[in-house]
Amino acid sequence: VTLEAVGFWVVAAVLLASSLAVVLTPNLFHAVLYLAAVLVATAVVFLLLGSPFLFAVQLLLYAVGVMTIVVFAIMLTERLIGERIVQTSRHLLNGAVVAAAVFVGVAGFLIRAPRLVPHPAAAADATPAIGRALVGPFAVTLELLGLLLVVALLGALYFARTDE
Amino acid sequence: VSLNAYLTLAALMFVIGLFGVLTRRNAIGILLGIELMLNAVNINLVAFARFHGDLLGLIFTRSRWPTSRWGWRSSS
Repeated sequence: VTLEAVGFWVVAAVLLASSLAVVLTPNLFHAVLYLAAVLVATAVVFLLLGSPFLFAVQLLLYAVGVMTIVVFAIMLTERLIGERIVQTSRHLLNGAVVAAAVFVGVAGFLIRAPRLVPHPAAAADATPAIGRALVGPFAVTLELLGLLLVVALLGALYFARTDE
Repeated sequence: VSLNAYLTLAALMFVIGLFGVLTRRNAIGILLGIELMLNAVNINLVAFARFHGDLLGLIFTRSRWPTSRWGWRSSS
């Protein structure tokens, strides 16, 4: 058993337990904290897959940036309405059945898939190549992404407007 | 650790997120479920990038934009 295998199973256990906690805990604030654990565990999975650049991006953008915003939003909302927001769930059985059905469908493909070994060429640090690709073959994509961010910003402004 | 192990992990995480989206009653809970599903998809993309030696998955994860149809490969 290699170090990567041990790391993978530990991270997988943490990831799945935290994911379940996100969707099951009644406390909204706890759910967000569990989501932070999920995002950090996902970053570790990226590291196991030999991608330290995505590990850093995931930690910086998600675990820090997005989490801060979500926590702020919840705290401000609770302050505005003056009570704790309680997470409630409905249709638990239906949701579980649909989720299990989707997993069985995906697992059917996974069982029939051919076994792959890691590609040796991907072991090197890919950060310079990603940077070059983003301004080279994917320049238009990058611009479209910027456009998408502007649209999201306009949407946020629309929702935050005061009623005249 | 085989590719299937990563894909199974991502599939489990995805269906947990789907369960959250289907059962939560307020918008923030649904948003958290969607985050779970997005991260599961990202794990898939990075795992395929690693096992195929192809940068496309990393760039896709970085930007989450449908570029796969361009067929650009770093290894060729």
